[in-house]
This record gives sequence, C-alpha cells and structure tokens, in this order.
Amino acid sequence: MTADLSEVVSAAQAGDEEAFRFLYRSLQPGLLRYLTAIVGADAEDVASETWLQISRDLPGFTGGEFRAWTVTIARNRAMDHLRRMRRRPSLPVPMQALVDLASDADTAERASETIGTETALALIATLPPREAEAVLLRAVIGLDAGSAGRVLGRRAGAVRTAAHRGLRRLAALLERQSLAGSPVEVEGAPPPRAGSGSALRAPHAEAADG
Amino acid sequence: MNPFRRADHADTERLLDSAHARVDTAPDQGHSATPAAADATSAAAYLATPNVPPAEPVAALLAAAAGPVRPGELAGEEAALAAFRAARAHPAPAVPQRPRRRRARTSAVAWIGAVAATATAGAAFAAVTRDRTPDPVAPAPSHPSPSSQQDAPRSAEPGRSVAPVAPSPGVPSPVTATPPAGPAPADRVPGLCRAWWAKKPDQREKVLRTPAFQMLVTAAGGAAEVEPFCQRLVPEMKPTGSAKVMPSGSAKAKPSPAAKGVPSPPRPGHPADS
Repeated sequence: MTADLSEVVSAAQAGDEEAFRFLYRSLQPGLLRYLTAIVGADAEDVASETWLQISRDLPGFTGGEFRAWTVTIARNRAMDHLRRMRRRPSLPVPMQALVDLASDADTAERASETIGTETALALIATLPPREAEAVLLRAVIGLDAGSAGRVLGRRAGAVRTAAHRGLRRLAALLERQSLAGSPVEVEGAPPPRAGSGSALRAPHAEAADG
Repeated sequence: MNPFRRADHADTERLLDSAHARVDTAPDQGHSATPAAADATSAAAYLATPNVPPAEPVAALLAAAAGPVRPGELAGEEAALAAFRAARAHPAPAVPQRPRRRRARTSAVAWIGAVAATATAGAAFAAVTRDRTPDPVAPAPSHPSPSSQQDAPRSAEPGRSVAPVAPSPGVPSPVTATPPAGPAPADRVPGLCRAWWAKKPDQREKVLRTPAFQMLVTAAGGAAEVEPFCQRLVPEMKPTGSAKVMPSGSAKAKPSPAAKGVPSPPRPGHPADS
C-alpha cells in the first residue's frame, strides 16, 4: 500500500490533479475519523485546514510514510485548534452512541452486527486519549506501530501497549454491554463521558507541549 | 464470554492490522467512480463473513471504525483540489505582498536564502541555516497563516515559473458567486474573490459563512485569510486600511498592483530582481 501511495504522491507532487484527488479519497476518511476523536464536531474544519497545508507543503515532502506525514499535519492542526479554542471539545456524539449501543445491543453478536462506523468511533473516543490515538492510528489510518509512534512522539512499544490496553478496554465495554443488555453503568467508560472528554483533554495538551 | 480479554499483544497487532487491511480496498473503488456509493457494501460484507467470530466483537468494532467511506466524508474534495491548484499556481507559501526590508536587500546570499525558503518547505530550513543573514527570518514551512514571513514574497516571482490563476488586471472576468460544486472550481476562486470584494465591507464577513463562498474560505485557509489570499490572487484588489503595510524604509520598489501575485515580468526598478 505504501509503495503504491508513493507513486501517487510523486505524481501529485508533479502536479497531477487526479493523483491528488486519489490521495484525498484514500486518506481523508481516516483523517476525518481520527480528527473527530480529537476535536469532535470541528473535525471537518480541521480536516480542511489539514488539506490546505498538505497542498502547500506537498512539494516539500521528501519521502517516507506519506500517511504518517499527513496525519502528523492533521494532529498539529488539531492541537492548534484546541489551543485556539482554549476549551475542551464538545463531544456529543459518543454519549449518544453509547445510548444507542446500549439500547441496541442485547448480545455481543448483535452488537457486532449493528455497530456502525460512527458508533465504533464514538466508543474508541471514550478511551483514554493515548489509547484512542494508538488504536485509531493503527486500525483506521493504517500506520504500523513504528510510524504511529513517530506521529505521537512515542516508541513503537508504547504504541503497542496503548493499543492493546485500548482494545482490552473496548472488549470489556462491549462485553458488559452485551451481558447487561442495558444502560451504561460501565466502569470503564463513564468518567470521560460525564466529563465530556476530560480524559481526552489532558494528554493532548501534554502532547501539544512536547 | 469474551476471549479477547485474554488476548496478548500479538492478537492485538493482528486485529489492528486486519482492521485496516479492509479499508485499503476502499480508495481503489472510489478512485474510479463515486467513492461514497461504491463501497457501501464492504463493511457489511465483512461483518457477514465468518471471518468475524461473534466472540470477537472488538474485531467488528475495529472493522466498523475502519469501515468504508461514508457519505459526506469526502465533501471537501473539490475544496481540497482547489487548494491544490492554488498552491501550485502560487507556490510561495501564501505570503502577502509587502515591502521588502532594507537589510534583506543587502546581500545576494540573503536573497538566495529567501528563494530557497519559499521554494520548498523542506529546503527552507537548510537554506536558512546555511545562508543565514542577520535577519531573523523564520522559515516556518508549516505555518498556515500567510502573515508572518517577511522576506519570502520576494522570491515569489523568480523562485518558480508561476502560472497565474488570476487574469491580468483590467480584464476582470465577471464571475459571479456560484456554489462550490462543479468541474473546475479553482478557476472560480478568483471570481469568488471579486464577488466577495464587490460586497459591501460590512457584509463581507457575513457572506463568507454562506455556502457560495465556502470554497473560497477553504482555499484561503479560513475566513480571516480571505482578504490577503484574494489580494494575492486578484491584483486589482487593493488592500484596505487594515491590511495595508507601510514601507518602513525601503520605498524603492513601488507597491504597485502588479506586484500582487502577477508573476510575469520581474518587478522593475529593483536590483535584486535582475
């Protein structure tokens, strides 16, 4: 995949619009989903800024993992955005999603049938941010642990551990959903929920500083 | 029960890898035709396959998170392409025209450094560190705002051969504001600039929130950037009072409208341009 992409990137750098369009279509959904977990409803705006900067800086891209390059830009734009807003992002979506999930999912099987992209992203967004970012970069953007670590400024091993914890947390969450069949007294998740992203907040600020 | 709770790191890695492997097929379908419609089935297909044991709801969750393109996710495509075209038409990283500073003119080395700084973001740092002059020129290759770099605009013309998007002054094509859906929206950006500029000043901010000008806002990088962006793009747009920058000491080169992003001839009367 990366090799394919690098040809397209070269073509786009040479001015090929269709190549750029292909890059957009390939990368935008993942970027948008990742950004949604960080900045919530403003993700589309931040994604627009991201593509603007990608357009401008594309000639300076010198190789490497293009996905990682773009997601780094997206992450920087998101951090700038949070700094600009100076307030925590409002994340109405995960709350609603949890409610939906709780009402829908009577069994694990059923949960896996009914779970949609939005719900899945909302659940991932309930994770502690390090874990959420690790999971998203790995599973949604498609980076390997090393590239994800470079984006996040952490080691590959730390990314693996964070992703692993995140998945375990998600598994526990889904399991409780399926066993209880009813609402969301899930120990793993509610605090970020009630705080509307308090857990999302801190590590981002920290990442922004570092 | 959920077997994943006993999963080890290798299982995690496998799950994470397999989640994205499915997404990678989406763009291929999307490239040829309408992406949003094309792959609406692959997540469903995935979930229907025996590939996903019910015992692994996490796998299903990841697959859903990495699922195919949803309607609306590619809504910014034309705007992104417009930005791409604009960036190629004006490769200097969006720096508003402004008077050069005297010290920057003193040495050819500084000039070369400025060219390199704007030619490519990657080369910028190297050029500046090597050819650094007393001027504290920050290369800021990733800065989204066009307002900070000072020496960079000088290289806008010689640094690259620029294909001007804007028609020459005096030949304003009366393009009216149209919604940003269409075959060649980048061609409309200058027209959107003019349409926007034709509004009463107190309405300019408001109209930028309308869909008709959304592409312009996106191409400019934000509502606040529209004015400098358009001033670069459309030479006849004179800066308003707030955007005007008075030359501090070097009034040698006239800040003529021709200097605003119209690349063709090197600016007359400036030694560094020759």
